Amino acid sequence: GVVPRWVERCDDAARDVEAIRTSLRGLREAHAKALLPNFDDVAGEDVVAEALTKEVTKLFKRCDVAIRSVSETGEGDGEERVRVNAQRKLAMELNKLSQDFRKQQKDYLAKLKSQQDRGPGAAGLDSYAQFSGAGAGASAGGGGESMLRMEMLNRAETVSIERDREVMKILESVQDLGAVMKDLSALIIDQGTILDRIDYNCQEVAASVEQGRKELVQAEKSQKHSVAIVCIYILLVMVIFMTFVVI
Amino acid sequence: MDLSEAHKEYVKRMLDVAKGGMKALVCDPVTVNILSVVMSQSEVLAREVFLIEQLHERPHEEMPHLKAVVFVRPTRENVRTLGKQLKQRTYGEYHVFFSNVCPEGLLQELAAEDDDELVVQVQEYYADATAVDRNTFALELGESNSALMNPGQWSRSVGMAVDRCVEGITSVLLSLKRRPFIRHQRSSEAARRLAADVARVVYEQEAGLFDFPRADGAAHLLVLDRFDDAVTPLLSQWTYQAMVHEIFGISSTNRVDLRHVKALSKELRELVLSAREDAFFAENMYANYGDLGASVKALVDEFQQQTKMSKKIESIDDMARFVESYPEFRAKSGNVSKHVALMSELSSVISQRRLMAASQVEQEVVCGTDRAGAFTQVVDALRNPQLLEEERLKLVLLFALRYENEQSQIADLTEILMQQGVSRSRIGLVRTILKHGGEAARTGDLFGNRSFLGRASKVVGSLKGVENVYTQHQPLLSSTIQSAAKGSLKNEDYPFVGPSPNGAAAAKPTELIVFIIGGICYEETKVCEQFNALKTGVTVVLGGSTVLNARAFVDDLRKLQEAGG
Repeated sequence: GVVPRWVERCDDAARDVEAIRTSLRGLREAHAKALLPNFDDVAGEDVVAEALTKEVTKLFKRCDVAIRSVSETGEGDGEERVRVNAQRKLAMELNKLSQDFRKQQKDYLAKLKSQQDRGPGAAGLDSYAQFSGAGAGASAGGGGESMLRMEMLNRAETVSIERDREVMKILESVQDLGAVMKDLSALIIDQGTILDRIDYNCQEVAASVEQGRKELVQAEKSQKHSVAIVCIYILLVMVIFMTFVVI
Repeated sequence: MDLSEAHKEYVKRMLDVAKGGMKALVCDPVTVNILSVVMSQSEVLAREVFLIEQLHERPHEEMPHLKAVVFVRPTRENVRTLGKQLKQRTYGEYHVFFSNVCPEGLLQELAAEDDDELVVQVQEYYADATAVDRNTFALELGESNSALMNPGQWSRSVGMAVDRCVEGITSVLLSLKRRPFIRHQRSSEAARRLAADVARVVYEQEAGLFDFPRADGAAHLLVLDRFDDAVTPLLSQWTYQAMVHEIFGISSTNRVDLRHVKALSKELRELVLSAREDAFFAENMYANYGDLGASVKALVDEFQQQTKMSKKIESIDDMARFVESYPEFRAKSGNVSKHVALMSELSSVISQRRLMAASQVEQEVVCGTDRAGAFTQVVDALRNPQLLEEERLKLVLLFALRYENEQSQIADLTEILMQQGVSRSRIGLVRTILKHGGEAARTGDLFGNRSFLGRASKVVGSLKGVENVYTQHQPLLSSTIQSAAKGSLKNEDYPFVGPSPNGAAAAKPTELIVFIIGGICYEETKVCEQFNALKTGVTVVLGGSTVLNARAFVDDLRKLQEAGG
């Protein structure tokens, strides 16, 4: 048979989910590499990570739109429950991924921070503190040594500015995602509640089928008394009346 | 071996063999409960089940892009309905799983209806009883439960109820992959009949199916009658799960209905109390009232700590942390409010109905040795206007069971009830319970007063004093499973049907499956779980025709009485 349009939408969303999963894996690797000590000054894995973060955020947004459109292609009311459940499943998966993503970003931030405290940048700051703490006497020390210290300090500053920027970017991405997931969270069932019970949902289906049947009966009844029927009766009466008049 | 885990594994496999693509899960009124206690909606959703419905003839819109995974009992009615649905081609393909052994004739009937070859596979997955807890199952016999307790009056409904028990028990044995030695309580005709029927299936009818490779050790099936211990279902309960069942009722699918409590918010009116899904409940289900109060308080404190922390969102870092923990936070808040609501409802009912006062007298009657003292306490309690008729009647029933031979005192008590306007038929329950559950009808030593040893330990126990007056009672089942585990149950009291074990090794079971006709109580599941926790090398699985509380048991007594039993 012909595959309904909403099924295609589901497939789109499922593909996005898969793509997000792959990108997150890539992001994890990029993060791991970015945290390795970087001796040459080539902007490396953190740039890759940033690009991937952007990509993932974009995918999340696209997937969210796809999931929401599943219920918007309103065709065949009988399948509404199936559609909502399909949506639910995708929303659950996306939600899980968004948690993973946030956790990943958070872990990376934490590691960055500890590196900043204890890493090469921090070492630079420490030596600066020592330097200034030593007072005027230090300036009298060998010029070459002080030049080296100045350079280290500069480098530490650039590193820390760069890192601050990175941290802001990451926090932004987490917030962005929060906004995306806010709408979908309505679809997610709280586990351990009555709503997450098979028997409860089965009852609901039965109840809605029964409700539908009642409405159908009601519709049939009201059809009998609809304005159109009344008009037809009136016209019929008039036709008969007119025939008599003509005769 | 864990029954609910075995069932869950079955369901997963069903959904996996119909892999790929969207699925509809089609069940019947019994299997929907079997499913519900082991799988949640979100778990089946994750396996692409987008529609769950009961098998019915009413045609709904064709959904050729869905695969139907049909999990139903192998009944004639189900097979017919399924046949009709096949003709209507409701779903694209059908994967049929029967919850028990399917008779050959029904398979042929199904095949004959499948003109378009929509049925991809038919299999038997043995899950034909509701796994209420890890090692507990129930059959939800409902209305026919009382009929089962009185096999003296043979009728169609008794026959059907017995058959249902046989099916439930054999499916449990099949899912545990065990062919047991079968024994029953001598004094019960119902137990003898059921044991014989199970033996017929296991050793004759389906002998091939039960031909499992001999594992080390042996499984024993012990069939008991509720009336061997009519005391336990009548007692007030003070451990969490048992208390909730006693006061509000827990459905066989672990649901608690609080819709009558208007003060509760909408999401707290219907609750789920399942050890499988709720860690706090799993930890506290056997905790007594006092300890439970402390645990709930600790839960609230911990939660408050978290909320305070989450309210103090000052930096963007805090925010990120909160957003990240939010889903868990939300789930936790639901869980906390559930237990708080239950606890506060329990405590208000307990104080309103003076359940502690009633319980103290109940325990004195059942566990004490001072008859005169017990009698005065019961009389005082009957005159307490704050006790409901329900509680007063229970006290008289318990006194009658305990001091069966003191006819005049029992008559005095029923006289008081009569004066208080309790109906004649309700008072007649005293006679009914003695007829079915009195000394002459019993096998076990219910009050520990038959042997010298039993009497002595009782006296010693009363001298020692008790830790908690409300929870002195130990159900009879406790000593029965201990003897059975040691292989020391007397053959003349609990005879074997079919083959009996020869040699001392086989006489001691490694798995003990106990089935109680008429229903089990949560006080008994507690005893079994606590026994299992000791890891003695014997695992007890407890099953019953239903899970009783006092109200249901008294109701069954009433039906027995009306049926002239």
